[in-house]
Amino acid sequence: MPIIALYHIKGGVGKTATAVNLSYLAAQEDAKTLLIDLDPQGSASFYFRVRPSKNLKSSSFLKGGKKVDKNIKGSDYEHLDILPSTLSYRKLDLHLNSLKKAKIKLTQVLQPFENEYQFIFIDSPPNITLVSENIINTADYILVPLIPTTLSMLTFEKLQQFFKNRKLKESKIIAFFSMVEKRKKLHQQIMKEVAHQNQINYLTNHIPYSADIENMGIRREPIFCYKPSSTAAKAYIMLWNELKVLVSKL
Amino acid sequence: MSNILTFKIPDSWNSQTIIAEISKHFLIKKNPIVEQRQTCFDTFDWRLFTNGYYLIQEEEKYYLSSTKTEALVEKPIGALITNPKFWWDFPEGTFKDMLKKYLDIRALIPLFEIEIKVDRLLILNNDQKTVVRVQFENIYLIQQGRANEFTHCIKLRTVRGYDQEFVEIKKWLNELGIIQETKAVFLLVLEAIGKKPGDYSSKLNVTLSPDMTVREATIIILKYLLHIIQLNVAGIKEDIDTEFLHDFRVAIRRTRSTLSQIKGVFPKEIRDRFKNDLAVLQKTTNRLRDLDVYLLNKENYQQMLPDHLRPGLEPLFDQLRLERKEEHKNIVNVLCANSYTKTIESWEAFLNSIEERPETKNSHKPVIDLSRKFIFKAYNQVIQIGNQIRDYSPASELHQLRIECKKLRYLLEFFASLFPEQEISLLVKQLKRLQDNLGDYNDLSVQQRSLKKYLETIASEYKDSQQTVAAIGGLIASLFQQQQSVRKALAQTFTEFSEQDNEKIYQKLFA
Repeated sequence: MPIIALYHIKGGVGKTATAVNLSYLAAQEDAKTLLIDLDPQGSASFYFRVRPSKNLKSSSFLKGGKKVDKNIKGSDYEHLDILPSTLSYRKLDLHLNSLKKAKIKLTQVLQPFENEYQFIFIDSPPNITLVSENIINTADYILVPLIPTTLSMLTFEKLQQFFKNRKLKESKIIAFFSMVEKRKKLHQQIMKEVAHQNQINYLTNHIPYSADIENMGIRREPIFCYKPSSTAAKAYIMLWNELKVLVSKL
Repeated sequence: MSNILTFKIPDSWNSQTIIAEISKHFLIKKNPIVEQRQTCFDTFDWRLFTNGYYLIQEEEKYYLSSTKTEALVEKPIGALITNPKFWWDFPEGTFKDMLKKYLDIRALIPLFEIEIKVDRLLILNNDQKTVVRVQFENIYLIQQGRANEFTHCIKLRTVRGYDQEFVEIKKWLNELGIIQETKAVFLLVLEAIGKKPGDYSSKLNVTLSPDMTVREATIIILKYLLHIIQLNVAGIKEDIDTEFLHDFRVAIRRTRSTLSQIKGVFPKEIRDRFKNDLAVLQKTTNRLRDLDVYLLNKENYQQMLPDHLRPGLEPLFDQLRLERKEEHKNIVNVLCANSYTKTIESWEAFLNSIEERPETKNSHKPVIDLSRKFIFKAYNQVIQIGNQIRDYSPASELHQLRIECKKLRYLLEFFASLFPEQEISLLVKQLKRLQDNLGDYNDLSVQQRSLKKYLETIASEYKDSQQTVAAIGGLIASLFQQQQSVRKALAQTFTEFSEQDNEKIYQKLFA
């Protein structure tokens, strides 16, 4: 039951859109799928129109068990459940700080759900915090969306450096290009350069920059529900097919 | 998995009336109508149903649901097979594993086919989020290719985390006078077509009472067994699975055993005649059963051999399959022939007329007294023969013990309903352990013998099939070793059977 976390230090790179669309695709294949929204902004929860039932406190989230279980909600789609985010997750870091074994706390919280679900996706908050370290420790794969720009690549280097410093498994990282603009020479150039580096797993498929994806915020549903034959929708399908093979080897 | 509740709706209502009503009170979204064709499956002896499941095929998808909640118990599986019969016809995965566990070697049989027209409706909250799924189902039963209207109902499906909304709409339906259907649709259909789930089991399931005469009790047992014999004939002819023949044979064997062991109940010459007729019938089916057992054992045989020798078994199994095909034809002929029909008809007529026949030595004694006497005698016989067996005793003595155990087993089963259930099942369990040991020993020796025979035939026919010769040799060696270890275990198994605690129960119940 692979746990796949969408993560990058930088925000606004297409994490949430990817988490929403990939978890939808997994569920469409009859795999029981859980999307955990750990970003206090709650964008993924918003896309699925799901609100947390009671104000789940970050301290009780970390205790796991029934409280978490009760907050899991069925999405509008078969086989896809959401654990919605709450504003109180902004305090997750504080609570983690006060706990023993803080770096592996999330693993314990998710452990009971690993048998129930065939795929677990996590939409993570940006920045490097104890929460993100937890996510990196817990997830089997860290899926990193990269905008092919110099700055974005620089932050990615920082992320790799962070993995090295903390002795985290760099092999968990799977990167792919997101918000790619065909006409921008710089995008094409950076993508070409990366194709020759092989210490990091890069997916060959990428997600284009697209107004159809941006519209998810208005439609509040996965792109396949309103623009199923768009280039962007097809790109997600290709990306999922490529990723699926990689993560099924677990 | 989500919960499903089914509600009855008045005949005069249609989906439109209800959708109109619901939309007055709830925010809804309509989905397009879908049509589904479903076939329901179980084994002849209801193995899924008795474990609380039913299997539905919808085009190329298979669904395993709980009979109680109608909820899926396993992720549905897609299988590009039109007529799956056995668990091994399904693709690898937990679905297959579950079927394996429950079906074992029995085949799936289609029970009925229905067509469902589904109006699908979503109930939404203020975020336009689905909180309950509603389905109006018009169900048609397919009979002789025609779809006949059967019933209609509403199904509510929960969405995880929205229990409150679910309770709300349920309450609203109740206020409209729409009540929950207690039976799953598939049960209603079975009822309508006259099928009773769980009505067949190969177990001897008769209830006797102590004040019956021996003859009355015996006739109840024999009629039950005759029924089992008759029920299995169609399945043997159609060759649905191997267990029809097996159950058929067990019922005949039990019938013969009843005739020979419950002594002095019927006039001797009549008894002997039927015993003989049934023995002949049984004997004609021996070879087919043997072949079934070999073919069912194929995987076991292969596992006894190293990989490189396994292909050597193919010629053997090819030959067995061919022979089985022929043998099955023979048995179908036997079952269609006049002599079979006559035997069964006159047996049935005899059972129906026996009460008018003259009294015999034991016929009118109370069954409770005689059953005690028979069982205790059979038990003592087992103990006596078993006690004489040593590690060096010849196979013939083991064979004798096996026969005596069988007699005791049948008597315990015939009269089980006259004695405390718990104690009888304990005794049967103890005895079964001993019987399994002796049965394995015998089976292993029969298998070795027939392999040896096969080896002799191929040795003369094609001399260069070295791989096959080696494979068969390997099998014989492996079977021999298994047999040795089974033989070694006998002494201990028998000691356990003959221990004091067990003896005390026999003394208490039957002496």
